[in-house]
Amino acid sequence: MSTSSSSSKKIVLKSADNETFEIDEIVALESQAIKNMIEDECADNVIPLGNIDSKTLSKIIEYCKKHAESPKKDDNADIDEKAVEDLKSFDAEFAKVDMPLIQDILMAANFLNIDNLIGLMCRTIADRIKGKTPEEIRKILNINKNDLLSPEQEAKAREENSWAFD
Amino acid sequence: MDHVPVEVIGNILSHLRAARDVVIASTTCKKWRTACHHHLHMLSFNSDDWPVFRDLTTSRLEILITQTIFQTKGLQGLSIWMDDVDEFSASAVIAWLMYTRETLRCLYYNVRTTPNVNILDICGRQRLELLVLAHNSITGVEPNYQRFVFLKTLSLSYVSISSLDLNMLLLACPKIEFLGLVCPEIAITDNQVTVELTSQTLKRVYIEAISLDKFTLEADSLEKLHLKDCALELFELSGKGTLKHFKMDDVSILHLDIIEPVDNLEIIDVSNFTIIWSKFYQIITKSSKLKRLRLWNVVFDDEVDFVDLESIALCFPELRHLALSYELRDDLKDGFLHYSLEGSSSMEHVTVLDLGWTHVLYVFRKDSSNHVRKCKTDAHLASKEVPGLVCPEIAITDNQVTVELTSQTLKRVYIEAISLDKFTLEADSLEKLHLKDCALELFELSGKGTLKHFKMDDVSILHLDIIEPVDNLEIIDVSNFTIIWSKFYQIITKSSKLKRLRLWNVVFDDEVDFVDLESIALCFPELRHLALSYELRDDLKDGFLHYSLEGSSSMEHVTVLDLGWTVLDEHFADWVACLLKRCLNLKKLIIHGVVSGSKTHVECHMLASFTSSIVQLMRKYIHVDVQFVYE
Repeated sequence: MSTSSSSSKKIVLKSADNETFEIDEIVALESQAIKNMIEDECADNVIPLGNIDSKTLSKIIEYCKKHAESPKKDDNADIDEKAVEDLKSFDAEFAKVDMPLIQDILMAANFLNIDNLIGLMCRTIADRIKGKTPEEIRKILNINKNDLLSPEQEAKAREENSWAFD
Repeated sequence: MDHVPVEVIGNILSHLRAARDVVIASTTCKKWRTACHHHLHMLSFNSDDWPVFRDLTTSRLEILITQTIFQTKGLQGLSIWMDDVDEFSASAVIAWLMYTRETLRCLYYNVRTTPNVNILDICGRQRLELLVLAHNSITGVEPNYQRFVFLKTLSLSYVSISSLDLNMLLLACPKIEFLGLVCPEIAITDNQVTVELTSQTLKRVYIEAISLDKFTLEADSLEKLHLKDCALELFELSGKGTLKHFKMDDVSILHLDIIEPVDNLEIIDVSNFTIIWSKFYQIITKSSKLKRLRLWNVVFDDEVDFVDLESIALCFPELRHLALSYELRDDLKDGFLHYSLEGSSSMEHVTVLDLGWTHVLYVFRKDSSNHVRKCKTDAHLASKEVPGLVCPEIAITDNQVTVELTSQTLKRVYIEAISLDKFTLEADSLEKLHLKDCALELFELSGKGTLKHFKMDDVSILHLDIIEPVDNLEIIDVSNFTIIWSKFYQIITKSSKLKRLRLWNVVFDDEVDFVDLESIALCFPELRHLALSYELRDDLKDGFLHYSLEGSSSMEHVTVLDLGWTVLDEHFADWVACLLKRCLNLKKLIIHGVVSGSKTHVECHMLASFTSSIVQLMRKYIHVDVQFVYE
């Protein structure tokens, strides 16, 4: 999938399901991990991302493209304000996806070390569990039953923080 | 969540901030509990987070804060912002700070302590990058000892501090970039309240609610200065010409001294300021890079002082955004402005114009004169049109107040301020009937179909009976009337010659009753002037209308649309758009709005967004003349 016809340097990312994404290097540099790989010259033409599927990867690329294109802190305050607003509304729209995909994006962003995206996904999850009971949170996040606290542990946790459960 | 690393979960928990949410979320499973204990980096106790906080006693709060903080390790951010707590005990506060200080980067704290805890002492020489402190006092700052090597942001509100200590504190922060000072208590020295600040690194300064005899700010890297709600006798600003953004809101400065080149100024934003423009203009005249200039609700000190647009155009060639509010000279009633419009130099780069008014003298006057004229014509009608019946006293017969009138010649009837059980009018030549301010139980109108103009204003009729063909009706004008539209519609449905229909502030009697635009379009093919006010059904909060917009038959002959609202909501603009779409040959659109005296923020916002929508909409209908009437 070609994303731009400019002559700038291209990077090809390959997803777990073997789909390839050709993107501008500047977009790829949003990822600290890829940046390090490129700087250390250990990146081949194609960077395989064996733990990220194509659906997640295309979302991540969408995010990085937008953030790479948006004007960086410039000395023009007027444009700054507009760009910040624009980016904010993009982020808000971007985060309107279901919880499994949010978690996939978060994992991938964590792996690729994209700081802003990690923050955005953490904030999104936090917003969705705010003010909910532990039961509701487990349901929202689809927590594995094996990971639950034992009844004793849970009782202890509630006792230590009884104020919050009153 | 199985595969999400525990550090990342700590990050999610930190985004929750509010302690109660964090604590509850940490009991969802083992991993989250571990994350809370070892990887939580932000924790907040804010009285707005949870209403119960306000009901707890101070010692209970101290205990729960202590308990929660001590379950964490490596906190980087701590916020304790309790509005209703008078004071915390020093021992609790010291314990929280001592437990967290080695990792703490951000601290927000707003509760007084007894005895006073020297927060600077505890957090000095640590990693603090941001300190927001309120309602505390700072004394005896010793820059060699209390160093804040990492501190970039310092905000003090309602903090009592001496001018000397404040400056010392700045010196103790070699990397400080932002200083915020809100309503500080500054000690008086030598009968004067003076603040002198010096910093090489400060980039942004925000000062609010401060009243000083003298304020000196020497900041060589300053980029943004914002003063709000300040009264300063003398303000002296000196630097190296780095200032880009200068904002003053509700400030009075007797002597403003800017001893710094202003070549780099890009934004000047002055509002609610008493200004000697000619002097201020001299200061900024060299800011040739100015991109944004805002002068809003500015009071000109001098009578002959005015802003010359020509010089603005010439001095600020890069200006992109100009915002001016329309200021009248108080002394001159004819609306003479503090702006000179002479000259014709263009402002080529201005892409955004903000213009505002506080007094709309002209519009107001015009409006009120209209009103007067209208009253006169009404009086005229009442006196000359025969017969006119204005507030007659009718004798009671058989316990009923009844009027029965019969005439073969009557052409026009005007009835005002009458309350009857029964009113019968038999007039075979009647052309115009106008009822105003009447309450009628039963109204029976019979004739030979000569009626052309039927007007009702502020009338209530329980039973309306028109025993007369209405084929010749040309004008129907109903306002402030409780109507059963479906019934009324049946009466007028045959008026195929109708040229003008007005339904204004009509109260629909029936919940499911509504005006169907499609039938209007089909039944009245000759309609030229349609006036509708936007009525919301009271019972339905979602703004469901008493108008059905379905169908698409056009109203070809309608050239004038009067549309109005009494209660504006976000769908009004869409409604206008729907109506516009049907009127292919529209020439004139008049929007009538009711603007209440006390406007809430929501109402203002609604009005503003409506205005934007209508401006956008009218771009599609360039040939249509638009007029606004507000009351």
